[in-house]
Amino acid sequence: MMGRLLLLLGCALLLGCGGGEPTAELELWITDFSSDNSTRVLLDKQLLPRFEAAHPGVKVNTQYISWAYIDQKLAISFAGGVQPDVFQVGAEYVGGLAYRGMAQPLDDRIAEWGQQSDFFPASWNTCVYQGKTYGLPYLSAPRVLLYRRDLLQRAGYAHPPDTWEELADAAQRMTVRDGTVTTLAGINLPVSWQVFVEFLWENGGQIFNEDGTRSRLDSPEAIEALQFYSDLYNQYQVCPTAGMPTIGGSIPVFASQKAAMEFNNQFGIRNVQKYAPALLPKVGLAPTPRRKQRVVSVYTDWLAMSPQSKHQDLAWELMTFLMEPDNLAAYNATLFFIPPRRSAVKAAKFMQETSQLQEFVSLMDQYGRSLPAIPEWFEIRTGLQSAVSAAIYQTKTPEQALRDYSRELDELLAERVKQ
Amino acid sequence: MKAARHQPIAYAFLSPGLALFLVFTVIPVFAALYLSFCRYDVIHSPAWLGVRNYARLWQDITNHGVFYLSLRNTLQYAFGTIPLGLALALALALLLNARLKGMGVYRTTYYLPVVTSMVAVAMVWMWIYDPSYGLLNYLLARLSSGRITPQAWLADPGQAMAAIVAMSVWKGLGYNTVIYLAGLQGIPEHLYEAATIDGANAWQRFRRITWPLLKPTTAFILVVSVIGASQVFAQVYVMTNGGPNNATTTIVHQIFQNAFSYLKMGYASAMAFVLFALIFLLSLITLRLTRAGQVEYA
Repeated sequence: MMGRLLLLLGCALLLGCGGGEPTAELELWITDFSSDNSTRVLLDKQLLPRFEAAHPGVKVNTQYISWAYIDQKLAISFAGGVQPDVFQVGAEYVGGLAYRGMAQPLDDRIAEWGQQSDFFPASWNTCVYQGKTYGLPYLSAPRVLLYRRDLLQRAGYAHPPDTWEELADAAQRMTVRDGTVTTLAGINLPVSWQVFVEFLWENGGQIFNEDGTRSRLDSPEAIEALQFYSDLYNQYQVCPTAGMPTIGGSIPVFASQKAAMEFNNQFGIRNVQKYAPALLPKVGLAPTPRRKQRVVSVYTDWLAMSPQSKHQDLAWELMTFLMEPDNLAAYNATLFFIPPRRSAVKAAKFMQETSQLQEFVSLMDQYGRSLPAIPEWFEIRTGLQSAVSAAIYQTKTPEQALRDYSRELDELLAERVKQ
Repeated sequence: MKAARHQPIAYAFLSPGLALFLVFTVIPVFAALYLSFCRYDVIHSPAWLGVRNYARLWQDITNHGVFYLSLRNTLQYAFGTIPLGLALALALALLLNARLKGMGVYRTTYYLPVVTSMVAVAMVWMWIYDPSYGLLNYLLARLSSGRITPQAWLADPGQAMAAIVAMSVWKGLGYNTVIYLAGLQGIPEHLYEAATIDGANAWQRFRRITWPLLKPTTAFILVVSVIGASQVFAQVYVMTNGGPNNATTTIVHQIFQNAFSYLKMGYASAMAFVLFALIFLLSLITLRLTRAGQVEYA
């Protein structure tokens, strides 16, 4: 009798477990997703069902979150104790997340996994803060010089500009003006802290010192870099002016053939493919011109794991599943980003179809550098943008703009040191 | 005696509203006041700093830092939107007060932007201001036969705030107009009749009757506009995100940035209390100025 009862109880328990209720739920937040829904289709219909099938009883709940409010969502979710298990963040996040205890160091798991060497170093370094690795790179965007071969040749250049002097000279030769309006810009450069950081690194400068406690923006290298950037706008006048006529509305400047060169990532190529495919063979790729050294800046999104996750082993399995070469290639294909690991580049058909994309990979591998990790990146980004804007719009000299901001940055960094 | 007996019942009926007010307004206000003296990143417990956040704000103001710029921009926005918005609303209300056929349609039309979402309106105006293919540059080029070169309205630090002011005046015009319209309709008709019989012309009737009797309405609109302008955020966030070169960053934009991007809740709370003090002061000044010389005709 007792045996029968136990059997009945056992059956009831088994039935209860098999009733469709997951034994573990993982929260996954994805921030980079395609506007045509292809990322969601890939993850929701293909990859995650495969992961769930391989892990019976596990359910992955995915949220697709805009970059516009990821910071707020993350802060509120961590404060409220409802943080995701795995979440995607950008190139400037590792310092802040690590400093506040919002990302789990993964070094032991990574060592056991043994696949780090397959990733491009510049992509990998995006996830490292003070020697510890806090995530796995998910997509990369190296910024290079895109140029029109035909226009450059006509300007007397047999090779892409290799130095700052050549860049300024070639841009001036290719610029065409109609009165005060530029009709063909020598080089399309947005007013952006990212462009300044490229010039800064090429000139051997740094944003702050090695341990992130003092600004280095008042160094001669930094001032010279911003001066050159400002000169391209104001002295050489080779950048696009407001109201520059574009074709067909909102087509980007380079793809609409209104700029002879630009600093851009692989989206520069995609724009040409989309809006002016006939132009593609005429588009060349080169590293951004050097001054003291050659650097290609690489911006990488990565997957982090929450230290408060109750399912860290499963979360790690999900992360490594998404990092499998085919899965990583498929994800990057939906977005036209460069997969951050070599085997995924080989597995990605879209990477093989366009010769320029292979060049991006080669330049990223040779000269790639990621942003240095620091907890205050968001504030630095805003402050740096103001300093750059002040110099380009000539409300301050480059030297004054950088000296003023450098003082502010020192105060900002000193606050953390005091804590 | 009877009133005292009914008091518990009154409080019972009031209690749901009071509870909500307590939980969602009173407690957060005091919590924010406490946090303004702390360092708080929402992840870790607040750490007491004393007046350091306020000292940093003062230092920022004296060094002409970002908070100083946000204060300056907020005042610029207020001085740009309030007089212009008031004058246009009064002019429009005078026109809409006429007894014309189909006036309801006109009134509704002018009120439509008020009920439209600020984000949607901001997006539309971003297209209007677009330097390459925006409607404004197109119209200016057509009207000047190409003599006016295209302008980067939102990307030029010298024009961005003016562009936001123009859009905000347009968006808020209907609200002020409706208030003025109500004020106009409250002025007894016989005052105008008597003035007309006495030989007063239209300007004199406006100057001696309409404007003085609209003073309470103007005072109300002024106070509401001062409070609204001090809290400007959505259009700035959507159209420029405070740029270019901090030319459009405002106090609330800085509060948002510090609280949710930099996770400096304490510093942001200190800013919020400075904003509170500013609004309080401006409202007092406005009330004092508008209370003087109020007129009443028997």
